[in-house]
Amino acid sequence: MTFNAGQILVQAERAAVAQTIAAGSPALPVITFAWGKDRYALPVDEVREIAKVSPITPMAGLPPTLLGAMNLRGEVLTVADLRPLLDLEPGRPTAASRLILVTHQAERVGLLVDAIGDIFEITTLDRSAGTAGLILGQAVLPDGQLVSLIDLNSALRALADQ
Amino acid sequence: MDSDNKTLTVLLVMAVQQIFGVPAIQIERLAASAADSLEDKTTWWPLALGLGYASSDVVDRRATHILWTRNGIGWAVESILELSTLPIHSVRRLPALLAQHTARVVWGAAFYEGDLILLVDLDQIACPPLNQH
Repeated sequence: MTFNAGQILVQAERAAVAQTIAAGSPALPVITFAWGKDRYALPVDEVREIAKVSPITPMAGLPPTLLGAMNLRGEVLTVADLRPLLDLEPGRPTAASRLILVTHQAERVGLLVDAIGDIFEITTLDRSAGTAGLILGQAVLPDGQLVSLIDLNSALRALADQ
Repeated sequence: MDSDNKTLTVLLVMAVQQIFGVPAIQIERLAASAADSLEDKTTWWPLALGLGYASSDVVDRRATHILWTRNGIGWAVESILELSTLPIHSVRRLPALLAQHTARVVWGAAFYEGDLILLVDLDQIACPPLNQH
């Protein structure tokens, strides 16, 4: 069996994550989602709903993180893409895209993701892997994949401060 | 806004291929076409420019109507869709996250035949510099 450099790096990352155990912390239910090839997660408790993407009405003057407004069952929903906050390329809605609805100051915001994954419980979190304060840490899921846990409060605060 | 029957009469117009709702009360007169108003060219601009979208010659060429406001400013639009009376309950304030970037020019949204239209306050739009026209 041979490994290329990328595989070795991934194996090393997973091993490091697996060795970092938050002693005594309860399992955290998270919902996973995809941005490109990478997987991310949000705590289930902070997610209000998952919705399909309807036509988004853009507006002039919005920062790259705010895509516009969408009609969600008679509600004017703000649609946001957090990726630019993480220095990732902004995404475009596709048939597989979904909105993760969260609440920010009594208003609901739909976060655009490329696809929704499963719900898992995270028991181990590597907190050394933060990115610009918006990633709480990384964890290895039961299926062996690496997932980054989003710091939703910080991300929403960054959205509002733009 | 008519508080008696709780409706808002808006002119639905197209600009930058989107539908915008302009309160009818803000429009003094409507020029049938941009060509009819060529003599007033120095006083009208594409609505798209006033709303903050990039201006271009294409926008100018698409203009078919001009909305003249009481303060003598004309805003050219791609087309007039219809004059519509929206029930107040269909009008929504723009969410705060979006509103903070629209400078009160887009103050709300409403649903019209499944579309989400943006409600524009013409009085809040500043005249663009002449050299951008």
